[in-house]
Amino acid sequence: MKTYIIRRLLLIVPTLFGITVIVFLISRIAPGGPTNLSLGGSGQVDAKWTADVADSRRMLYGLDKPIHVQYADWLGHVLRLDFGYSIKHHRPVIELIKERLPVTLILNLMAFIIIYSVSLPAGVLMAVQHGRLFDRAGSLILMMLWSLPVMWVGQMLIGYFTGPAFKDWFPPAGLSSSYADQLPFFAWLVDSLWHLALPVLCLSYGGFAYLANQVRSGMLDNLRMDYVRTARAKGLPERVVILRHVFRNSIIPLITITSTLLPAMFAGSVIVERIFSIPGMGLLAFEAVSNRDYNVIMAVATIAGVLNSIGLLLADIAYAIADPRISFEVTV
Amino acid sequence: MRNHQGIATFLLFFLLLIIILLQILSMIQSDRLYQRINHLGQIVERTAANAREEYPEETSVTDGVDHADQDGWLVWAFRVEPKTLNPISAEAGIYTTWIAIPYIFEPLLTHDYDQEKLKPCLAQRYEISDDRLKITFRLRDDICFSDGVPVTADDVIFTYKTIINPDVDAANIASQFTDITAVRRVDDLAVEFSLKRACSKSLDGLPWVWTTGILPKHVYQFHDAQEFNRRVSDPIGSGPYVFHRWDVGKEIILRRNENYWGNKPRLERMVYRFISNPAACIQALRCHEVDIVIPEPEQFADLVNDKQFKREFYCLSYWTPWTPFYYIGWNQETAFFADRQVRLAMIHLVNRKQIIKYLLGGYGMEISGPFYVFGPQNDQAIEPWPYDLDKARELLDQAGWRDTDGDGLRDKDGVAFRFRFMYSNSYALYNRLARLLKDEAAKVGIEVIAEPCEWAILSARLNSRKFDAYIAGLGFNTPKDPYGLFHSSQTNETGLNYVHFCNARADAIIEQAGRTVDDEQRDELYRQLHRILHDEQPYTFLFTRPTLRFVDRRFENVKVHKMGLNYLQWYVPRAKQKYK
Repeated sequence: MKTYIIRRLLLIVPTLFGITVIVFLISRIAPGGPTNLSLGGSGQVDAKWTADVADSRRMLYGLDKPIHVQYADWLGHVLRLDFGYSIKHHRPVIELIKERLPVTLILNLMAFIIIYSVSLPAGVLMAVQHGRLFDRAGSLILMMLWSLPVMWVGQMLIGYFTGPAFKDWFPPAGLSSSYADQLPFFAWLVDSLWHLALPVLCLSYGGFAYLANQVRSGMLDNLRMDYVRTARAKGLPERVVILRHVFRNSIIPLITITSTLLPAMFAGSVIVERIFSIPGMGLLAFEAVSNRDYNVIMAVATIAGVLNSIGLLLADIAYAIADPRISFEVTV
Repeated sequence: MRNHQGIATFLLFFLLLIIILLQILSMIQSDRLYQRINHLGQIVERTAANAREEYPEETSVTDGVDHADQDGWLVWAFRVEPKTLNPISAEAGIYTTWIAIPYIFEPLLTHDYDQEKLKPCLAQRYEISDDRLKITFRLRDDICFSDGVPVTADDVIFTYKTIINPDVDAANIASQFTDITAVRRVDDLAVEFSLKRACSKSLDGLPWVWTTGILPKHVYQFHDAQEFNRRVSDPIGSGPYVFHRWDVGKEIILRRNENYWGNKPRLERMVYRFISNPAACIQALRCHEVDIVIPEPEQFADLVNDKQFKREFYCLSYWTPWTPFYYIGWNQETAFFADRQVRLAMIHLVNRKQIIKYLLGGYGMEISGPFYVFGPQNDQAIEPWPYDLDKARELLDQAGWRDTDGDGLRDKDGVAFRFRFMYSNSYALYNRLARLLKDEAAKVGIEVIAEPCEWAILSARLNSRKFDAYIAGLGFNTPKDPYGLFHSSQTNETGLNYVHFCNARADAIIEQAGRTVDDEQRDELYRQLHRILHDEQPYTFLFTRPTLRFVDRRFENVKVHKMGLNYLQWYVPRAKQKYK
């Protein structure tokens, strides 16, 4: 097992290299660049002057060098953990990410917890009550929730729950009120949670159906197995049979889903962030791509690549722990 | 075996419980700490307030107004967060300029609110030399920056030198300074600008030059230009407000400059909140979380009829020279639009009245030229071309575009009349306009292929002239000098004349206008240019929109001047103040 983990960790390096090269090439090849400004003022803008300025701007940011030189430069800096400066924001990329990543992580972590704490019990109950009212009603409701588009739901929530008609149940935008950092701790906590309520709700409702269905189908498969009959015959209480034996055997697909959640969390939920004016990673990455802000794009891609690889590794390890039959040792 | 496991689990849970308990205790402790700090803060405030009452400030109080009215806050809702608060940076967009000038930084001359001319701000007066190639500005002798250092000619020269420095990322501002050949320090409080061409008496030939904010040299001087480029925050200037804090992604807060050299404004704080969702902006306004919002035309049309809403908020709609106008550019290097008759036909396809009524909620005005509708350069006698499908068909027939192969599309010399219509995908309005055009064009046998593009791609295609037609807007930086857009020398790869408009008469007029120093004569020349543009239709000028604002009614002195709103006049009577 240990050799397997070490091998996987070492394999991350060439994977990352491949990711960064591809993202680098694609972002450079795409038409347009970060230095295209709409030059237009009321001066007599001369065509030659415009050309000179465009060139000097490109030189200022090192965009006139050949591509492999640019990549080598970037790589050299990254190995020293210097992700460079954003061309649009004129600030170190690390600072931008440090500001926004915690926001996105908290948002998604809370959504994650809510999705899991609702879906797992719901899925288990639906499988146990298979065919009865709870199962049918549950499936229907979850399917309805799943089909509501996030964009529409977000706007509806803002329209109904944040206005004076409902006496300001929730705030319309942002993560905190003005000067919130001067509040005492509990007041600050309540303020933050109040702001996070609607965005987290938007993020989580869609995930219920997906996860609950997975749990339900996994459990249904296992409920038909022989060992369940044996367990019941042994005299074990029903709860132990369901939770300790059947449920544990249906975790494998859940681990797969969870492992893909880590990078998804990082990429952020652009739509929800846009609707609720939350300064998170999703918006940063999206804007960077529109503005061709190369340094930010590369930083986001690199970090996403690292997280993705680690996520997959953790998932593989979790498989091995969850099911002793799975082993990654090289068999002769 | 089982027992061991049982005890182990129990110990684990116990440990977890202890950790959670410790966590809760630490939260309670830090809560108590914060409360104590706040309590102390309040004591300090109260003592300071008492001290102030005993020794009233000697600074000027405007109009004998009650001293207590000086504490209102104005909270804005901005849709977009500015990337920098450095007004010279190339990334300084409209939102940066709204915040920075004239609140944090002040220029030599500023726009008057009641007439369309420049009035002195940091400069007391200016003298123009006889050959009109040199202007000498005399600075006031009582001006200083917010840190107390006086404003001198050195700061003006530093600002200018920084802008034209090629290593400083200030390209789009520098483009407005190309007419200035040199800047000379006459003495401590006087600066002389040398120009390439003679200037007019009112100096409105280069308005953006004289209204650039002056940066303090002692704060912003640099050894390496990148150092300057990276100063995006903590601005220090001479204006009536000072920078207080910037919570990235959330808000920017400015406080009143208590050391201000002029009349201090009555609003103590300006807060700019960033709310990217237009619906959320309106909700925030209605909850009184923000005070002033820039609504979309549909939102304005909706709420202006709501009596309850009007009772709580001002609904302002007004025109200024800086409102954007929208136009379609026809690429005259294509087979379709090289012919004037075809271009004229296209304008008859656009039903501007319907567009304004349905897409803009009635808040718009048709235009026929690039100049401000109510300004002197606009020839008021010119009527915009009407919407007339029959006329369009007639013009197309005359131009030789007929449906010869019976496929429903007009064609000529084997080329079907099918063109690509490009627009930025970030405005829903363009999308709707494209679809409208597609419908109307289909009625006369033309196929329009709508191509929404990302801004970067749009700009690349415009620069490389690889497009058939595009729609865009121009505003804020609306050039009063049409050289860049309309002169034939700008049709090459890097000029702004994307549509390849070459007209000898227009060229002559533009060049002559550039040489004319008399404002009236120049306006007359521009009116002639307007007529040429109207006849030739290199661009189809669609419509312009009024500036729309919703403002909370607790503010007094909210007057719509000819040139817009003057926020420095506003105040909140003590009884209605919300924030302390």
